[in-house]
Amino acid sequence: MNKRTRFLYSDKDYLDGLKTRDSEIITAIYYNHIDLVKNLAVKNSGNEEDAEDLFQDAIIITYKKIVNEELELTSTFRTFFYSICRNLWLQRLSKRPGKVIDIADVEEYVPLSDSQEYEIHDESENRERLYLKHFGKLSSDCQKILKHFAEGKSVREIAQIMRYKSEDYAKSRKYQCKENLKKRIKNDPLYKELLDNEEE
Amino acid sequence: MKKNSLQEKLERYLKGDMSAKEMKKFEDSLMKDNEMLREIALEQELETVLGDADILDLKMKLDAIRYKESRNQMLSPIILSMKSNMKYIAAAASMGVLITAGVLTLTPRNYSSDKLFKMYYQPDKAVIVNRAGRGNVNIVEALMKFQKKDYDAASGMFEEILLNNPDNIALRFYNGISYIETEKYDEAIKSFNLILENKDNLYIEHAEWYLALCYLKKEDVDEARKQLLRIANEEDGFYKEDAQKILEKLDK
Repeated sequence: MNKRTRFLYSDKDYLDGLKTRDSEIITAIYYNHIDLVKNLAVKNSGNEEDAEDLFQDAIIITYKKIVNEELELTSTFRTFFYSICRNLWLQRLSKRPGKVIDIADVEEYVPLSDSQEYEIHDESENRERLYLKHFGKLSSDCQKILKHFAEGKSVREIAQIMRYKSEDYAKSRKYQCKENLKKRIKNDPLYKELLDNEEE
Repeated sequence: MKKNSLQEKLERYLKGDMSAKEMKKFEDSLMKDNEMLREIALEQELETVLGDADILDLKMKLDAIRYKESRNQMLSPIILSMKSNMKYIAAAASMGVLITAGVLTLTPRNYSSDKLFKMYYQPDKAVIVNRAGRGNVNIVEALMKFQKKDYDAASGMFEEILLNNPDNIALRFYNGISYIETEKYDEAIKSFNLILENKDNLYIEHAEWYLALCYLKKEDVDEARKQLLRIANEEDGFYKEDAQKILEKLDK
């Protein structure tokens, strides 16, 4: 995607495209906002890797709000999206030692609705974000097979699509992938932290 | 497969697929085990996440964009030269010399450009330097040998570093390339296979591609075809079209 085509989309295009998970729109949102998010993270004790994670989490939150019809923009998409990222980042900073309460803003922001705030701060939502992050680190083979299962395809279909030798193999492969995912999650220090928060 | 059976039990328990007796026994064992209760909680939450195909789809698309972007930054010099080498292969194949002398001209040459090399001096983008921890000096030295096309020396040093850092996939990849350059195709194949086993998303596609090229060089058409088919059947694969083209030529 080059610079010229990036700006051909309106806020409505973004919302409509995100609703259907249109790759082209998601790519446009990425290229139009990633610098903003990187700026936010880097100026506030984060790095580019944090910014990439932040971008993804903010997109998923926005997507959920669109699908559940809980999103009405009271500002531009850019300002709204920045506000989500900003709150998420504040939340993450607050968990670090030597809490940071103030943030150096790099863009205008708007107050979020209660349901948007809830989505950001709820511990089980936080854990879900962690699970998804580790899902993204699985081999593409594992990601595909788990997605096929999520789509409700039969073991037989899945064995065919993945070109596995047998249905039994497809099943045991799914177990392996899930085991692998769990192992990654449990090894993440953030997971323990999130559990401790819940138990407090 | 012991772990699998626990996983299976958990799933059956959560789905209610257990007999009353089995369930009682399983629950009794649970109550004694705090760890196990956490396991169940994780399992339940995971089911929610893994049950939402739309969110998984969105996540995979987001990762694809991120991956493409990081690959653009990191590997564009490699990719460009591999693409141009592709033309040789297609041309050689169409002239029917693929399996004979033509193959020998197919080795990709130009994968290490200045830009790629300089990347390793930027700490925030240096995959290799970051991951290897100790022994950074060796890595820089090895990469300098690679850069100077002294592939024999580079490969020796890569091997040594890899002994202590077997999971350094980036180095494993460059080592594979060095082996191709020194015409040690069996060793190269080993390297690329290790990368594939590791399932590191960043290098897997390239490793698959080079593996196919190695088999072509070795005139092992069966294995090459298998490997190319795999690449050609990937969804949105970077080398998909190129692999299809070679397959067509091979089948003529």
